[in-house]
Amino acid sequence: MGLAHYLARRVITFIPTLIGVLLITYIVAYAIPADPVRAWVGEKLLNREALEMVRKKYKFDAPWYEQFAFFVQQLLTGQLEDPIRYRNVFSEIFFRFGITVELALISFLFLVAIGIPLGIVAAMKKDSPVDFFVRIFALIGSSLPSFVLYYFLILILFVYYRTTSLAGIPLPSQTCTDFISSLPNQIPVLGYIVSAIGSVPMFGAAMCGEGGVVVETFRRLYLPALALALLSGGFIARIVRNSILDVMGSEFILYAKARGLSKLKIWGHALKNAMIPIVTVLGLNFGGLLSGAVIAENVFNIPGIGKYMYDAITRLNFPVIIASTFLVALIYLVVNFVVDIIYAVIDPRIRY
Amino acid sequence: MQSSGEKVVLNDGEVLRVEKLEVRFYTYAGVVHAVSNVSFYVREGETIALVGETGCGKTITTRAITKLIESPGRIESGIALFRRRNGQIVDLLKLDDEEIRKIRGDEIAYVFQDPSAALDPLYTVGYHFIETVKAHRNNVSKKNIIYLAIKLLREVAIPSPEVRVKNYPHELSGGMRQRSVIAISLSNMPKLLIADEPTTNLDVTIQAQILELLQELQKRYGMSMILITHNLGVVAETANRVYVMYAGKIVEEGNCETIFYNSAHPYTQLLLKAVPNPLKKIEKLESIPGTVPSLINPPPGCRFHPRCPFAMDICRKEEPPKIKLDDNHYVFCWLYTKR
Repeated sequence: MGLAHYLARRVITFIPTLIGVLLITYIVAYAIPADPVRAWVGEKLLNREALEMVRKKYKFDAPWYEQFAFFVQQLLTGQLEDPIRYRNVFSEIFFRFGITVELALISFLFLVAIGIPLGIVAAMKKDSPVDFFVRIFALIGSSLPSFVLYYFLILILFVYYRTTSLAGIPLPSQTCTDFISSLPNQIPVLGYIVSAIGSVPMFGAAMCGEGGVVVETFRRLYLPALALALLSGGFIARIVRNSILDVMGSEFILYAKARGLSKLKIWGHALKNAMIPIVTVLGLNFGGLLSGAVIAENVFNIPGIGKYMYDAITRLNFPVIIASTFLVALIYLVVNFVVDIIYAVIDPRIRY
Repeated sequence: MQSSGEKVVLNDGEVLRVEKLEVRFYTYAGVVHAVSNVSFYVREGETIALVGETGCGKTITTRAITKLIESPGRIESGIALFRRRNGQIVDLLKLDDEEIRKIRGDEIAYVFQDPSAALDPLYTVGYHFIETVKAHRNNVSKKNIIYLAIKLLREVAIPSPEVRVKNYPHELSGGMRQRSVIAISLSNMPKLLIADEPTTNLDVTIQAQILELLQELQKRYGMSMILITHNLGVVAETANRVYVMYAGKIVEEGNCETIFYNSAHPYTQLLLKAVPNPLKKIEKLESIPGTVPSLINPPPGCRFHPRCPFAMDICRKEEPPKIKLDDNHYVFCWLYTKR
C-alpha cells in the first residue's frame, strides 16, 4: 500500500467525522430553549411578517431533519448566509480566518522558541533550578485562568508602557488586495493557491512588498501571541524534557555511547527520537490556535475567527456557529493529517 | 598506579587487568554497593566468563571498565589497566571523557543484552556502521564503510547483507538484529569484546549459532572476550576461565573445568546444583534457600553467609581472604583457610 493510497483513505474518513460534527453541533444548537429568529431579527423589527419570513427562509417551521438537511446543503454549496449581517458566511469567515492565521503563526513561533529550548535545557540539567522553573512555569500556564494573564500583560505592556495597540488590524493597501484577488483569473491553478495564501493580510502585504504592514502586524499581534504562547510554553517544555529524558535512558543511547560516539551525535539521536511526541503536541497546539483563541481574540480585540464565533454564540447565530464549527473540525483533521505525514518522515517504522 | 601500597602491573599476554573495583549507586533509598573489591584479568585471545545471578554486578563491572556508569552510579576506586593497540598501557579509569570515548567502540566494544533496543529505530543498520567507524576514523569514506558492513554482516551469517544494510532495525528479526549488533561492534576490530548476555533474548537454536559465531570471530580476529551470563551451559561451551560473582563480589575464579568439576565455594556448588549442569549428571535440581541480600546494607563478613549451609562464626564477622587452591583456582571462603 503506497502513501497515495493511504492519504486517499485518510481523506475519505474525513467525511463521516465532519458529518458527525455537524450533526452534534446542530443538535446542541437546536436544543437551546430560545427562539433564534427573534434574536436575529431584533427587537425593533418585531413584526409578525418579518419573523415568519425569516422562519420560512431557514425552515424553522419544518421538522428538525429537514432543517438540518437545509443547513448542510447551504453549507456545502457555500450559500449559507449570516442572518444578522445579510452576508455570505464564507466570505466573512474567509476574511476573519486570515487574521486568526496571523495570530496563530506568530504565537506558534513564540511557542516553539520558548518551549523547545527550555525543554532541552531542562533535560540537560535535570533537577537543576532551570528544571524546577520549567515545572512551575508549566503549572502556572495550565492552571492560571487565561484572561488573568491577558489583562496583566495588557496592564504592563499597553497601559504602562504603550508598546502595542489594541484597535484595528493592519491590512495591505486596496490595490494590493485587488491584485491578489485577481490572481486566480490570471494564473490557472497556482493563482488560487497564491491568492489563498495572500488572503492572510500579512502575507498579502509581503507579496506586494508592503513591509510596513508586516512590521505593524507583528507590533499589533505580538502581545496576544506571546500571551497564548506563555500559557502552553511550559507544558511544551515539559513534554520536550520528558521525551528527551525518556530517550536518553534507552538502551540504544547507551549502545551509542559504548560505540564511542561523540556527545553531539548522541544528542542528535536523542532529539530525533524525542521529536515524535513533541510533533504531536505541537500539532494539536497549532490546531487549537488556528481554530481561534476565543478568549484572547475578545480580550485583545482581534477580529478573527474566535471573536466571530463568540459573537455568533451570544446572538444564537446558527448558520455562523455551524459553519465555523465545521471549519474548526476541518482544521483539526487537516492538522492531524499533516502531523501523520511528519511522523512518516521522521519514523521509518511508520509506513502506509 | 599506586593502590593501597601494592603496585599493579599488566603481565605479558594480558590485555586487561582490573584491580579492586568499587562501584556505588547513590539512590534515595541509600548507597548501593553494587560492585565491591572486584579484581580480574583477561589474557590476549582468551574468553572469560562472569557468572552470577541477576543483580550480582556483572554488567556494572564491565560497564565500569569504560566508565559507562550513569548517575547516580559512581566508580569509587579501582584500577583498570588496558594494553592499547599501539602497545601503550593505560589506566582506563583515569582517562578523561574524550580519551575514554576514543577507546569505546574502537578497542573495547560491547554487545548488549537486548538486541531490539540497542539499535536506534530511526536509522538503518548501515548508518550504525558508518557512525561507529566515523567516530574513530573520520577519514574512511561512507562507501568503504558500507563495503565493510556488508562483509561483516556476511560473516555473522546474515543472508543477503547488501539488502540488509539498507534495512531499518524493525525490518529484521530478533536473531538478525543481535547478529547485526555483533557485526556493528566488530566494525573497528576491537581488541576486547564484552558480550553481555548475548543470547538471553534469543531462541535456543539461534543461541547456539550466535555462540559458535562469537567463538569463530574471536579466533579469526584474535580478540579477547568477556562473556557475561547466568547460563552455565553457555559458560561450559565458550569460556576458558570463569569468575563467579555473588552480591557484587567475586567469590571464586578458576578454569572452566575446575569450576564445573571441582568448585570450592559453597555458592558455586549450590549454583551448579540449581541449574542443569551440562558437564555433570545431577539427580535433581535444587534451589538455593534464602534471597539475594540488599546491597544497600550488605551482610557483614562474607556476603553469602546468611544463605550458606556451612556458615561459621568468622563468616559473619570478617570478610574472607583470597585463597589459592591451585594454579588459576582461587576462592574467597573461610572454609579453606588453614587454621
